[in-house]
Amino acid sequence: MKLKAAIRYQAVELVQCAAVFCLVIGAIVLVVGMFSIANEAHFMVSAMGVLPYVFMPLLALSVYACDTGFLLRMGLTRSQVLASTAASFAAACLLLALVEAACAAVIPQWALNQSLFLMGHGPQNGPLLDFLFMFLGCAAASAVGLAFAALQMRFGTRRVVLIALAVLIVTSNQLNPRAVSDGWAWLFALTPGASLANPFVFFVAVTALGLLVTWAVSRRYEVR
Amino acid sequence: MRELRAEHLTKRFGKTTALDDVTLSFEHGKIHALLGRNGAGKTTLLGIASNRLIPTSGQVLVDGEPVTDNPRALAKVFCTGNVQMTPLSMCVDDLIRHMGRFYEGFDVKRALRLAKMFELNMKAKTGALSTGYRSICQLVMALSLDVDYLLLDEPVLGLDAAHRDLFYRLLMEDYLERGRTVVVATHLIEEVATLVERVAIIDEGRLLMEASADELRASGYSVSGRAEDVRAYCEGLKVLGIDELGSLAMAYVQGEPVRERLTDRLDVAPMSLQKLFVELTGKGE
Repeated sequence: MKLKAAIRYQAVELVQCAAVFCLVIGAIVLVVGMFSIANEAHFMVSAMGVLPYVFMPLLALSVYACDTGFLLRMGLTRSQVLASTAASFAAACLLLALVEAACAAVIPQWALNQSLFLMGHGPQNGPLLDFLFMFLGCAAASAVGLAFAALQMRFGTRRVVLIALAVLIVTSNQLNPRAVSDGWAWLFALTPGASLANPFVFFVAVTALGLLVTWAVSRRYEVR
Repeated sequence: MRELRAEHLTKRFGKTTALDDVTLSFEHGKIHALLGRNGAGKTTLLGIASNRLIPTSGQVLVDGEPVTDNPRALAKVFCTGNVQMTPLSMCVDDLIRHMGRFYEGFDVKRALRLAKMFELNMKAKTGALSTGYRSICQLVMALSLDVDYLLLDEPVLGLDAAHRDLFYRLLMEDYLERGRTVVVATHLIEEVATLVERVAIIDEGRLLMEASADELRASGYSVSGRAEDVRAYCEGLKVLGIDELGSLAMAYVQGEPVRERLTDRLDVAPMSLQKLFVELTGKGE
């Protein structure tokens, strides 16, 4: 009963946030489109499809600590809190992916200007793969956000941000920028010969790793 | 045996030891007072019992089952306290609605009735409530639940006299009706002295004493009179403390009065729980 109530509580909150996000993005695209038609000019906001991958980790960072405290208060165990959080974020990702797939299917310009997946791999891949890409991509971004939020809750914001920055700087100094860019291109199947499955496998791996870190860090989380 | 039991419970926060090998039991169906000075470890003990904190060693058992991350044991416990765990933007009526979803035995109608009795604004956000109304909000939730173990951490924090009175009356009615275990952690001892059946005193993370309230009251007495008479009476006895004012003195003594030493110039009276607590913890509130 408690887990069901927790999922209901969190999922409603997150899906509402995701819906508002979609409405805002939709309004921006619409206003720019109308402005473009009215002025007979060619204004365009492109690659808005990248925003959900920024929005979801920010959402995770903003709600995880508060929700964890509330759900522990309501008598859930730490594992139940993580299960509920994962299920609720999956619901929000599902909404974003459905909206993305619907836009890809209905709006002709979407595949060429907005959808990251279809822009990179061609509109012939269709809304179904676009849906999967968006769903798994948002899940991976959310999992990274949750892992970061869990680390923040456990070790404090300043320590986590400083360590993350240090790791980023050291890594970027050690790695050859060309190799990094080639690696990313291969991961997202943008180089010839790379499998189209790469980004999907990558997202699944990142999601699993993010959730594992979140669980490992928050399984002994305390509300003080 | 039905009880909420702490077994060799130790909790450290960095280098600070909040609880140090505490073993005590809150028997089912009684009202217990958990007394201690500020920082004694009361909130930490209740925090572990409600799964908010994780013990460094030892465990808390609810009816024989460890409570930490155990859904079955957690379903029997509800803890109120000063730690903000409800989203600040959540309104009181939303909180009541959610409580009804999370706890099967939550009586929404009773919660609404109690909120009205306490004049709690249902549309107010929990983060915007004053300290007193934040306490009231938690008490309304607690008294509307049918859990077996109700842990109330400083339940009357910020409440005015009228609301405190109302709360104690409702607590007694609830106890008589449901006969569940209530643990009241407080340092307002005199207010709960008439309610509680058993008392546990902790100080600096250690259990000082655990007994029934009557046993505790009977465990000591005060003797007053002229300072030299009082000092003469106390010689060789276990004296908890002496208050002197001019030529008069009042001594707090453990054990039973020694009839042979009593004279007409000495008055003997039972010791209040408050005084016993102050003298036992040794530093005064």
